[in-house]
Order: sequence, then C-alpha cells, then structure tokens
Amino acid sequence: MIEVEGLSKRFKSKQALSNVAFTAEDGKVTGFLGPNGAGKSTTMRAMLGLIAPDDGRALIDGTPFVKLRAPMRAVGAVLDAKSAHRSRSARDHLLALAYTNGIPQRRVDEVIDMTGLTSAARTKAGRFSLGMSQRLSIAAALLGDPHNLVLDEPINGLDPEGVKWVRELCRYYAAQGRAVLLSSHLMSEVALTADNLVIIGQGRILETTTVGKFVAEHSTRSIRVVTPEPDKLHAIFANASQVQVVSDQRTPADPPIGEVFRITGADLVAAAHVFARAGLITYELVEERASLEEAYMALTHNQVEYQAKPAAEVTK
Amino acid sequence: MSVTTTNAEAASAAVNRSAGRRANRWNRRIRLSFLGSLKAELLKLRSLKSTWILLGLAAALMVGMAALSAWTITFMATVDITTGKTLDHPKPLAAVDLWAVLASSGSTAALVIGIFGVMAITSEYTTSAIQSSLTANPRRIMFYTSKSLAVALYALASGMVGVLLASGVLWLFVHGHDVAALKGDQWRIIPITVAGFPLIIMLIALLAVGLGALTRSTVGGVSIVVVLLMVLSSILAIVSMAVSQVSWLGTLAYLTPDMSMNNFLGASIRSDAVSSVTSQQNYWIPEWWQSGLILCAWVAVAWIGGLTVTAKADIK
Repeated sequence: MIEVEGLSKRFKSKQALSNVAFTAEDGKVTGFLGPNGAGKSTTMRAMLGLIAPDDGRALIDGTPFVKLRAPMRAVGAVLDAKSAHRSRSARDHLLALAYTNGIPQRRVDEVIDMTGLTSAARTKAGRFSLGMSQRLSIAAALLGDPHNLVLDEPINGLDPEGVKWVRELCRYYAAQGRAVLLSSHLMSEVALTADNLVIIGQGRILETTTVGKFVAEHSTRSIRVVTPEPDKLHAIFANASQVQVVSDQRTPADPPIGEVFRITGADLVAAAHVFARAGLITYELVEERASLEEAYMALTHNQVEYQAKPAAEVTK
Repeated sequence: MSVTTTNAEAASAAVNRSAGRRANRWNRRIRLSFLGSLKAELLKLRSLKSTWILLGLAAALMVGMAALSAWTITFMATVDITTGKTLDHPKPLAAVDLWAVLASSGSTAALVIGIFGVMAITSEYTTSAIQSSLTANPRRIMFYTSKSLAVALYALASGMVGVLLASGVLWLFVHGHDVAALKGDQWRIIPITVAGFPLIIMLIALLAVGLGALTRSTVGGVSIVVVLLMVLSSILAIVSMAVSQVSWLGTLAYLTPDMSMNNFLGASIRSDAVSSVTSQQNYWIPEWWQSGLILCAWVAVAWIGGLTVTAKADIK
C-alpha cells in the first residue's frame, strides 16, 4: 500500500505540488491521471525519495521509502523509459541493480526472460529503441518481485502487444494483493486497466474516485438525429422541458444531407416511437455516449499547463 | 482488536505463501547492504568501455613518461655536457634521480584519472541512470560512499600497475649502467614512490568524484579538474615570477592540488633529473609531508562537498 499524505513541493517559481494526498490500495490498480506537467512524475519521485518534498510524506507499506530494508522488494518503479547507462549492456545494468539489494543472478535472467529481452541482453542500452528501453525499465522494476508497483507512463513507446502485456501485468500484480500505481495522461488507457482513479491537475488532486463511479457520473447518453425536417423535430419536443435539442456539427460518419441534432434527456426507444407516429423522416438515429476522455478533458481543461492553439488557428 | 490483527496477519501470510514458493526462498535474504552496493558499483565501472580506456591510458602515460625521462637520463650520462661529445665511460647514474623519475611519471596520468573520477559519477546524471540507481538504493550516502570506494579501488589498481610497469621500463633503460646508491635521508623516496604514488592517484580520483558530484555535469566537472590540476598552479607560478613584489603567490602555487602532488612525490629531495624551482625562491615552500596533507585537504573538501550535494539534490 502506498499512502501519500499532504505532499507539497515548490521548484523556484512554480508550485509543482500542493497538498497532494491519496492512497494506492493493496489489490487494486490505481490510475494516476493528469495532463502533461500536472505533477504526476513529481509526486512519484517524491514517493521514492528522489525529490525532497517541502511538506508532507509518502509511506510504502507504512514506512518511508528511504528507510526500507529492501527497497526493491517493496517497490518496483518505472520512472523513465531511459534509465540505464547508454554504454552498459542490459544484463549488466540489471545485475548491478540486483547486487545492491542482494537479489540472486537467477532472478536477473528470469526478468530478462519475462520482458522478452533475452536476445538483447548483451546489447548496450543506448542502442535500444524506446519500446525496448521501456521493457528494460520494467524488467528492473520487477527484479525484487515487489509488493508495490509504481509505473510512470509505462506504455509510452510500446507496441500494441507490449501495451497489452503491461495491462495484464498490472492486473496480475493487483490480483496477487499488491498495490499498483499507474500514471497516464490518457483516460482511455487508465479506464481499461485501473480500479481506482486519482486525477491531478496543476499539482492539485482534482478528484479521487473509482473508474466505475467516474464512468457512471460522466458518461451522459444522447441521441444523434439527422433529419431534413428540423421544424417538425423541434415541434415534437416543444412541450418536453427535460429534453434538449441542439444542433451538432456534421461528422464524416453522418449522411451528407439533412440537419444534424443532438438530443439529451430523451429515451431512445420512446423517441423512436414518437418519431414514427409523427412521421418524421430521419436519415440517422443513433444513441451516443459522451466518452470518458471528454469528461476527463472537461475536468482538467482549466488545469492544462501547456495548452496548444486549435489546429485551425495554427494554420492561419 | 488483537484477534482481528492476528487474523489479518494470518490471512496475509496465507496470501504470501501462495504468492510463489520459489520467490519466497530468496525473499528473506534480499536486503540493501553496503557490500552489495559496492559490488554493484564495481560492476558498473567494470562494464563500461570508458573505464578500461581511461585506466589503460593512465597506466600507459605513466609508463611513457617514465620511459622518456629514463631515456633522457641515460643519454645525458653518456655525453659530456660541456663539449657534447660521447664519453667512453658513461657517468654513473644517481639512484635518487631514477626514483624521482618514477615518482614524477604520474602527473600527466593524474589528469586522466581525474576525468575517470568525474565521469564515474556524472554519467549517472547525464544518462538518467541515477533514477534507477537511487530507487534501488535510496540511501544516498551509502550510494556515494560505495561509488567513491569503487572508483578509489580502480584508481589504486591503475596506479599500482602503472608504477610497476614504469619501474620495469626504467630497469630496462638503466640495465648495464653504474648506479650510485641513495644517501642519507634520500631513502624515503622509496616508500613515497612505491606506496605514495598509487595513493596519490587514488586521492586524485576521489577529488574528481567529489567535483563530479558537486557539478553533476561532465563538462563542468572535467573543466574544474583541468583548472585545479593544470591551469591554476601555472598561472600562480607565472604571475609570481613576473611580478617580484607578489612572489608570495609562489607559495599559493604550492598549495594547488597538482603542485601538492608533485611536491609530495618529490619527497623534498633535490634531483637534477626532475626540474625544480624549489631552493632558489624567497617564499615559503611546504615540505613533502605538508604537501601530502594539503592534497588530502583538497580531497576532503571536494569529496564532502560532493557528498552534501548528492545527499540533498532533487532528481527531476
């Protein structure tokens, strides 16, 4: 279990963390979500003693990381894809890490095998692709068969097979009663893997919830209708105050003719029946769910540190 | 309350038992230790090509310098300096000159050892390997001490090999010449050369580790090493010679690391084979043992400075 209690950290002019507190429970995958520069990496580094917080602390199974008897047994961490000396072979890199904690050589070969690096074990880490480096970092994290996993954007650079493997690894570790903290800036990724959610923006925790609750709260249903008779459509719902009918932008998936509307607050089956009775012509009638990504973007929109201008404005 | 705790403990023990028997066999032996950390640092240095190139270069420079000086001495012994004609019977060589040659053969090598020491620690920062090193071993003082010890051991070995090879080369040149024995207190040049020389090389390596840790940048660390081991003493000596009123700057020159090193290895014995400005000057010049202490002070300041930075620095 990882407990983060009131972490605050200021770097020169920037308040990187403000009173960050959450718990990554045993047996659960905790998704740590936030835009770039929100403080995910800083929080993880503070947990592992790489950054000294101005205030607050983090406990790993009840003990600060730097005081653990066997740090690699307690926490396996992937903080950066590139975390090995470029001129050192993958195996020597892992062996050196293993020596510090008295982990036997046999385990080094085991993790090399598990991460699919066997054929590259003697290759220098500097010649690895991003995906291979990521696998090497994961191999290092697994060396101590740790009780807690701390993974900072572990799927960056991985191929689809590698991504699936990391997901399964997280689920497997959690199923064994261990705590997994997984950071990402992609809601879709976290929603697939995590049980709990911690959302951070500009160094503050915005929401601590579970994936299930977040989905239930934020995925509103709506009906998408394309019709050549907009007046008739408005007339149908004129007296239903709970139903909202708004024009929507046409997407490539929509028919090229008719007008596009989004209807919220109405049931699909009931609406279909009403349309049939009223003789409304529809070219498209489909139920949509606002994606989790949209909900997450809405939540973090004001917290985004590095905001790009819309593409249209850039190309002007 | 205690019953619940016991039950919980029993349950977690059961989970642990099922977590894999093979893992459990070595789990208990896993722990962070200084010896493990030292073993890891030795492996880290051994597994880099740059280590072998720099240490090999250092030893080769010692041998090369000794060969060059030995050739000069033996050549000078065969010619009449006033007429420039070759003598029928070469003049006997002074043993003290030969020892002095041996002792002074390391000053160029010291620079290479300095670069080795700086890179041993700065490469951790420049390659981000520091992240994995400090998550495996978050006890930073232990990390820094074990790395320093590993660097010191390699430097010591390089110094010993260098002095051994250099004496072999010297013997080859001197073979067949008459050698005048050491007189009076000149005997002390033997232990100073045999034991002092490798120790000095080791101290220079530790000085460099400290400077590397202070700057955390290869360019910065190497620049300071070059300034301390080459530039500073020359500037001070030149200024003190040029401006007679500030000749005490000459004393300051003797306080620099490279002059301390050379003065210590010179054992305060006058030898014609090694250029020396010692006796004619009107400013204070430290004795050989005082120079040894001055060098130790330099090393202590740099190393402890490096320790402080390593213990406190945030790894972003």
